[in-house]
Amino acid sequence: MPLTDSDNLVMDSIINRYPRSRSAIMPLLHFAQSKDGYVTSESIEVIAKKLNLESAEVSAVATFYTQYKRGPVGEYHVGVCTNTLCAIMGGDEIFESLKEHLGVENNGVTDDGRVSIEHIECNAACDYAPVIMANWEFYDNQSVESAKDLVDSMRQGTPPAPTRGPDRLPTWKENSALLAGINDGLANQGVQAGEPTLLGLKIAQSGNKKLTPVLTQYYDQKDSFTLEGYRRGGGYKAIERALDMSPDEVIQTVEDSGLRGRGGAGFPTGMKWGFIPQGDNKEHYFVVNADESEPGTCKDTPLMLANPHVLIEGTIIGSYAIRAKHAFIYIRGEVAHVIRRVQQAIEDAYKAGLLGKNILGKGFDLDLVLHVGAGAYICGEETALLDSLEGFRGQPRLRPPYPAIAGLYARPTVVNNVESVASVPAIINNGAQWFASLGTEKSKGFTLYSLSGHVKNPGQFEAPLGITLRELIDMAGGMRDGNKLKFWTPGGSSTPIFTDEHLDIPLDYEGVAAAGSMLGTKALQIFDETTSVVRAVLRWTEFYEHESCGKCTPCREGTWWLVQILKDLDAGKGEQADLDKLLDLCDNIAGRSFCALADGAASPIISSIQYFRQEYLEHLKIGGSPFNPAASSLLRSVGVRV
Amino acid sequence: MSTQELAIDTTVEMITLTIDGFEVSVPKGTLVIRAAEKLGIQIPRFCDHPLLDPVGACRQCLVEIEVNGRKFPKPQASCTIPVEPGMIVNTQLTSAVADKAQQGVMELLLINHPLDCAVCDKGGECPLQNQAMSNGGEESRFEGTKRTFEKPISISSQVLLDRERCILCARCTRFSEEIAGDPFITLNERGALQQVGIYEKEPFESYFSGNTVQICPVGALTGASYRFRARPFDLISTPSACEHCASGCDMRTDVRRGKTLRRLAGDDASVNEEWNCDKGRWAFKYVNANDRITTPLIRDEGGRLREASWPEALALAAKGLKENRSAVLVGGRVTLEDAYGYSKFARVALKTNDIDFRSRVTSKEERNFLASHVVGTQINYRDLDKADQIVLLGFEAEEESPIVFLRLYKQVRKRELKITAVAPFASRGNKKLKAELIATQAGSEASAISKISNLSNKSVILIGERLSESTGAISAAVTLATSSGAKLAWIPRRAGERGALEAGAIPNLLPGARPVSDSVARVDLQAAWGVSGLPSNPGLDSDEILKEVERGSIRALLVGGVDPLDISPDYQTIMEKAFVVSLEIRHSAVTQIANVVFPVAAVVEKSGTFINWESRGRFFEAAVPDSLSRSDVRILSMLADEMDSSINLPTVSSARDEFNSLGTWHHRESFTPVSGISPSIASDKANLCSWRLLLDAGSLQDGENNLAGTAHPSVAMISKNRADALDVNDGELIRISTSRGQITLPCQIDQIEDGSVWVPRNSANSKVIESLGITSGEVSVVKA
Ligand SMILES: Cc1cc2nc3c(=O)[nH]c(=O)nc-3n(C[C@H](O)[C@H](O)[C@H](O)COP(=O)(O)O)c2cc1C
Ligand code: SF4
Ligand code: SF4
Ligand code: SF4
Ligand code: FES
Ligand code: FES
Repeated sequence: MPLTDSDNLVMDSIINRYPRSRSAIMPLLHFAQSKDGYVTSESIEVIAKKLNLESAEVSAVATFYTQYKRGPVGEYHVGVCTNTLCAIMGGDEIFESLKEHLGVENNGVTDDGRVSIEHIECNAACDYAPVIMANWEFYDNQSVESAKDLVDSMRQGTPPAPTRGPDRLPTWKENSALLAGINDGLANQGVQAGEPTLLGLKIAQSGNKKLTPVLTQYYDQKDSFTLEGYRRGGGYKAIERALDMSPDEVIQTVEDSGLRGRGGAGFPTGMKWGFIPQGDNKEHYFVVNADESEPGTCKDTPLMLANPHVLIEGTIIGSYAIRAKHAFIYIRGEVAHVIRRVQQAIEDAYKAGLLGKNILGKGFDLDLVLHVGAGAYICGEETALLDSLEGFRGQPRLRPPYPAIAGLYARPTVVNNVESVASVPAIINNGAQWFASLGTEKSKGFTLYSLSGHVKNPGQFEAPLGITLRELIDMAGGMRDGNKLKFWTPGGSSTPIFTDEHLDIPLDYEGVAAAGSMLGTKALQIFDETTSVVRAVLRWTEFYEHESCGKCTPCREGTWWLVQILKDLDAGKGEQADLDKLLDLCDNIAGRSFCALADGAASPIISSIQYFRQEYLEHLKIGGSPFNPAASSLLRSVGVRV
Repeated sequence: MSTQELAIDTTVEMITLTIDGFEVSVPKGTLVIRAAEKLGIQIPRFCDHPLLDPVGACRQCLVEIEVNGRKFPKPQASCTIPVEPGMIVNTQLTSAVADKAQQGVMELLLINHPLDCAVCDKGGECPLQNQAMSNGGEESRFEGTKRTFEKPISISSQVLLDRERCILCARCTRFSEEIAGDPFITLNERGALQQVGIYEKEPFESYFSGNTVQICPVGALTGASYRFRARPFDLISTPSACEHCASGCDMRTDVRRGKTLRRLAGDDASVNEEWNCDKGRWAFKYVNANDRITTPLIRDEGGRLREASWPEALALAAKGLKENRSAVLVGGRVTLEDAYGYSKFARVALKTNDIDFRSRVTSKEERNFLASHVVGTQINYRDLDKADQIVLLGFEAEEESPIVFLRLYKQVRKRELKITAVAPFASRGNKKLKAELIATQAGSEASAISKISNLSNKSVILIGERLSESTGAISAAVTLATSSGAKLAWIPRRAGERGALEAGAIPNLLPGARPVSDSVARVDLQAAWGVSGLPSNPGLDSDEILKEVERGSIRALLVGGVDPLDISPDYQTIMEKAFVVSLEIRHSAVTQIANVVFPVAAVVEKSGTFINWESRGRFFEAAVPDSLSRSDVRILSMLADEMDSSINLPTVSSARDEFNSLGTWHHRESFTPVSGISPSIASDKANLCSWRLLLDAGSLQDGENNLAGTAHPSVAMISKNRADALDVNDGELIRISTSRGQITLPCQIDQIEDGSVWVPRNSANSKVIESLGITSGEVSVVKA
């Protein structure tokens, strides 16, 4: 990376975003990719020098994240989602045919340097499956034909515009600059939301009383993502109110509302804020977890695409409550247009005096920085996120100390999920009572349910906690082709699967737990009777193997082994005893590992054997899979969806 | 704090808990795994290391824990959990859950392990092998494909990494970052592909890299020099002390058939903890160099050395020393016992105080300081641990006393201990210490020191031996200490200097801190030695001794373990004028001109004591049994007998006992401060400054090329302004010269004080004394 003076200035400005320079390592690596297309050794050395680090420390970080490339990629880098849901819905077929069509393997580049392909993990767009990401822009609802057309047009230099993205597909290097935090001014282009995102809202608007659009209320406004659009719907009223309250009152209000964390664990948000020591004369930090990477989870991403300002407003209120003067949004790096929108929203908020010094003249200062990840599911785990944000490899930290005591830069820190934070302005506006009156006794309020997979119309549904899957599937137009529901995840792939027995359990924290799973992220991935559960579980297990951070033995080695056993089972190789071995291994991994990722890895295996032992045995009996992947794919019926 | 530290601090609260049914009380903050050790319960572990921050990564140490009647739902990593009152712990011995968890982890650790114990250096002393036997299951159920990597790769010229054997415990990477501050090896990639590695272009060149080999719990990291050389059960291990510097590391020497095969860091919580530096670990081949001297030698008429019998050589040496005015030069590498032998020999057999262990630049100011403020005093590593501030004067900790550096680094990392350094530029070591630099030209230290303020009686001033090169600097340091109450410590480079000082191998002191000028002290010693008189005039410093040899007034020299070049660039022509008796282990510059040469034992072949900078005795026994070589003191005793002035020190232990029985004199020389003189350097010249790097051309590092491969390259450091004036770019050659000669090196443009140029004192292509004749002062610098 031969540096020009202006490059140096840009790099310095990136470093200046952070209280400690090492945090700039990730954006600087993105920036290096915007210059060279990949991370060259020269750029590792330049970054090390700028940050006063050893080159080994920089390369240790660069090699942790999948978005940092070791060699040239195409001008258009195409990622085909082959995580379970997309894979089953057609992603596998698309990926195979693209490889053949382009004559390259995974991670290969075409000879003309135009196109490279890679299979990627769930990209938080499951309700648009099967999904392709090109230079991290969304190409939704793909088919084999559309994918081939897409890469052909790329090779001619005329790719079509992304489905939800700017009017023109930026190049790999252009978008790498975006990921480095350099605004390209394209945020206002493209739709605010796709049809699945709007589904619940439209159903509610047509009079369905089971749904309660709050966060999604203005999703259908074309400019919902702009400051004006947000203000038109009453946006930024809550911070005026909040800044007139004392910070403790804000915390109390959130506590009274009963809001629980929407990132998976359901920890009461007000209580978490209350843990921050007060009067300790230390900096406090407020960190928004926008890493959304749990397979099946696709709620935060469309929220930030359509309504980024509600997140910013919630962040301001949260920061005020915990007395933080610095806030960060840690967003996954694979969603370029969402990054653009949030970046623009932050800049607009600064311009409007909603961020920065003396906000709204009320004496509160807050700096908000968007930090872009680089491809690592584990960075959604809050302590790994903090290490990543500090510029280290994103591996979980030992707890205690908990982030509330020693989080970012060893200072008191709150980490909250996007949806949790975005829910706060409405609570401030309408009162804790209003929020608490929705939902069930211990699971209060409304939330976003994401339906994907073999339903007729996948999409987002905002409803009070406690709604059932039966009700949701009904709103989604029922199962596709009238097929029978076979299994589903209540809250992402890390939550034990359910079957059609569980259609009527209330989808709240207690209801789901009582039935042996977890509400998680309310990512309802629906699979019908055409789907092989063994294939689904194998693919999820491959995901965990790929995403294991490597820190601890059971997860690192265990997922490696589990994949090998499951591959054999899927191919009908092995014996009945292998199922017991599998369960015993899961027992040695779950609850023995360093963090919850490994527990998640064991969940689909244990629960699938619990409900579908016979199906595993059937594989062994016939020496292969009794399922036809084409039957579970969507591709044969592409175009006929309503 | 480590458990050891906690145990030392008696104010710490004790916590009582129950482990496997047994009660145990341990200091608050102790981790469960170590509380169990106290009961003799060994919980298997890999990533845990008492001196590294807990990580809980390997998960091998899982146990069941109950607190306040509530059991943790999952087994917990005992290496990460501090004890709590009333805690109930069940290890693998009493909990089926813990036992299964541990067996499960062990099985997983082994699935990707090559199990090539038969050809692995660690075989026989491998924690993985051992714990797999004691805590693993019978048989692996893994039938899949193992992860493979290219077999060992060199991560430096002295360390090899076998990634297939690595269990990713991160001990090595944590050591490098937390203890040494050298994150040159890191974990790379992730998940099942995670691996230890270096940055492709920058090898693992940390002065402390050998420690990672020692703490790697498997055979993944191996030392290039020891690889495939031996199996642990072939080795005889002896506790020993390091002879390379004054840090005073406890060591273990492993010998097979009379040959040292490896040295390991010993475990001494109050000194080196469990670490050492690569020089101490790997520089031992000089002992087996083929220029070892094995018999006495005398110079024949033709000027050639020939073998001689002991009686013949002793007779000749005795005659030469007896008939001439003689002086003694004894280097800083001798043991306390040998130094005592030289000291007594000089006074009793030669009847002179012309003896000096300081084979380097010395000053009267320094010897006055040593006699008034250093000899007989004690200060220790704990004082560094507890200091509120440390000042480094003429002392580059990482290069000149590596374990002192590690101790300082530990406190800097733990509690941001404030460090101030008076030096011409911020060295890498001082940058790691985040030291505040008082940029100072060589020679101007006194005025820089006088500007330091804000020290307290909890501050420590560390004075390196080089401070004597700057007139008035030691005096300024003494003034600073007196006015602030700060403690003073003197840290010489060589392992034997402090012992030699205590033994009185210096012109102004007799053994046991007795000032030569103190008649009562002299009489006291006279009585103890049973001699009728002792020379009463303070003697000559080493450089003065050579001057008198040159003038012909001193005509005989007894020289032990000295590199005379350290004293004078012209030593050869000077010493050729004298009758020289040399005690040496190998042929050297001195044996080349000596008239009589006696072979002496190397450190591993003898017993003895080094006194480290703290004044702590490091006693050691011979590691190589049955060596025929004798310690210097035995030969001196024979020589004295031959001269009819017996010193009666027939064995090392008799020397030690006699020295100890003398005790420490209560009265010190008074200190007379000297004022500083700032050097005047012509405006078109530069002021040279230099120090020795840890790994350099030192003779005790001979024969170990793998170690030498990690030495820092020789560069000449100049400022940007000078570079501009010379019109050179980074890396281009510059020539530094005096009337005596020149040194040509690539330049490194850095933030060095503008008037100065720095070069390594004794490295490849940079032999400062030999080439320039000075260690500091005016030099010309031009583009080469
Ligand atoms: C492997 C793993 C991945 C996670 N990923 C996310 C994520 O992408 N987004 C998120 O908000 N929380 C994620 N979490 C949960 C966070 O650790 C944390 O609990 C959450 O951000 C807290 O926010 P909340 O209290 O608002 O829910 C993840 C946890 C684990 C163990
Ligand atoms: S369980 Fe262990 S290896 Fe897996 S992600 Fe967590 S810390 Fe990393
Ligand atoms: S090389 Fe050794 S010390 Fe380092 S991580 Fe591997 S097993 Fe642990
Ligand atoms: S620090 Fe000094 S005493 Fe310790 S091993 Fe190194 S050279 Fe020897
Ligand atoms: S976007 Fe493909 S599975 Fe979620
Ligand atoms: S020894 Fe406790 S986790 Fe490694």
